[in-house]
Amino acid sequence: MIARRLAAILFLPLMLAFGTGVYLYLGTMKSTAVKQHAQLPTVTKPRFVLPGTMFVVQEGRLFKLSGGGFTEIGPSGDWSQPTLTPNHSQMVAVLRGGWSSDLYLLDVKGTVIKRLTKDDSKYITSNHWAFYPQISADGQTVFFGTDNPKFSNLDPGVDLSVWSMPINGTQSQGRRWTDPYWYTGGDTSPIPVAGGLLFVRHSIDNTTASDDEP
Amino acid sequence: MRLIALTLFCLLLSGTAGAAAYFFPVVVAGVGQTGQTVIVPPTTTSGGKPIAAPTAAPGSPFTVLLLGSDDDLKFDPNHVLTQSMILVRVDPVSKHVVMESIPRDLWVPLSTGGSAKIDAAYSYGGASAAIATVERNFHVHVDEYAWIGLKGLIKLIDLLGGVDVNVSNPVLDDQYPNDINVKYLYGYARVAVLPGPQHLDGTHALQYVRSRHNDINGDFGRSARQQQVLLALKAKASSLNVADLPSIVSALSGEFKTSMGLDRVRSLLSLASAFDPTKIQQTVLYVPTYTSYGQISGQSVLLPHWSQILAITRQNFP
Repeated sequence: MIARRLAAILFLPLMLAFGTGVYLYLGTMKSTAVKQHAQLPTVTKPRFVLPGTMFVVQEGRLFKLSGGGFTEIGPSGDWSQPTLTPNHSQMVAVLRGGWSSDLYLLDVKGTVIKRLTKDDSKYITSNHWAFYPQISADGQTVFFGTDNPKFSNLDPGVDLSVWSMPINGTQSQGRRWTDPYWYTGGDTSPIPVAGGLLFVRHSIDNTTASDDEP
Repeated sequence: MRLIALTLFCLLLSGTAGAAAYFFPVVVAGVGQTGQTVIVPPTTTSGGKPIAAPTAAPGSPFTVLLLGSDDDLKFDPNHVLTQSMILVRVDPVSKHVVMESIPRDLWVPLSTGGSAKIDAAYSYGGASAAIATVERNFHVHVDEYAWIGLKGLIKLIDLLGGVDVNVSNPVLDDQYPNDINVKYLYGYARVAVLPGPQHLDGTHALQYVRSRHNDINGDFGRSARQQQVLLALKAKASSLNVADLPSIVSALSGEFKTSMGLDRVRSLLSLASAFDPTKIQQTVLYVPTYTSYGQISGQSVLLPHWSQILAITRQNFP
């Protein structure tokens, strides 16, 4: 009789532990898609070591890859599209806010030297984007894409044109290089070349456009 | 001997209880959100005789009507418009999938009476009206439906760690509705999704599939992007297993309804990895072949070219 009571007392925690164990074990069986999300590069290790230095961005954070190790640089924020000056002493990168983005000049340690554009405004339609910075061969001019001008204040036409501005100057000294095809997203990825400019133009050719599935 | 048997029985009992506790949210959702009964009035011939609807036997191809709605507080939750309507045919044997997007502004006779943009069918009569309207106009039989609210889509994509898409051109919008998780529902936000390979979290994926103001293809461009994100979700879903169901159910809580039973949902998850991306056929009913722009009662609408639409639909949904 005592033995039965003792067994019952011992069984209860055993059952509870086992049931809890099954519950927790099932939780470990989740797929990697649900369980694991991307880790920062400072946590993982690259598989091989490359010579030189590379600047990369992950989830808005700037990293320098050198000697097989990642180091986070730059202030916090939503950074993207870093591009080096020809002498590799500085870089221009995009810092994105909620409604706008701007170009910043930084040194290779990530210290902000200068804000190059000012595209934010409390009036939503007065905000602008600045993307795809590329620096001229002489290091004096930065080319980029921005939604300026907008199609009209009433019609939400927002397309990127290619502009340039002096790195040591102001945004008001900017020069527009392209006239985008409206409602396609516009012109992107400028690359200054000797005597001109390479860029990507998004457009639609009504004479050959197919209305089948893309 | 009796003690051993008793011990094993008790362990089995407690293990089953642990598993039941783990999958309990799935059971609750299964009761509340899946297996939704939909009563669709039978399609009739011009003489008024009802046509018997074929039912998909297990393992045979079946057609699902995917519906997506704004579920923000601007609208009565029981009378929302469907911003997305996509017919999907799944063939489990050949692993062939067909998707056909129905433009929300398509002007059609509604099953509830009168004519309106097709996105109104759900608001007037729920899933049954949306299905009946599609069946009668497109001459296709719908076996199942699945409806998702916008917040559910965000949570699902975030649960899966985001989706990867190849964006063909910049998606920019100065008048994107800023109506999720905010107090003032009628404000705007600015959207910029840049071209090239992009990894999108839930919020940005929703912007990508919902934005249409600066798209030269308008609502058609949005339809194509919606199909693209569905395929990206399918790619992520192919790695899911049964143990993920409680997390998925929690993410979709209140934001998902379907007529599919749990068995079919589970089988779809297992099939997701088997589908060949090269065998997925996508159709968008673009202007001018399938539709044309028009104005009715002051509304900008899409007028259907039924001979072309029915021909492609017959081809896609034999």
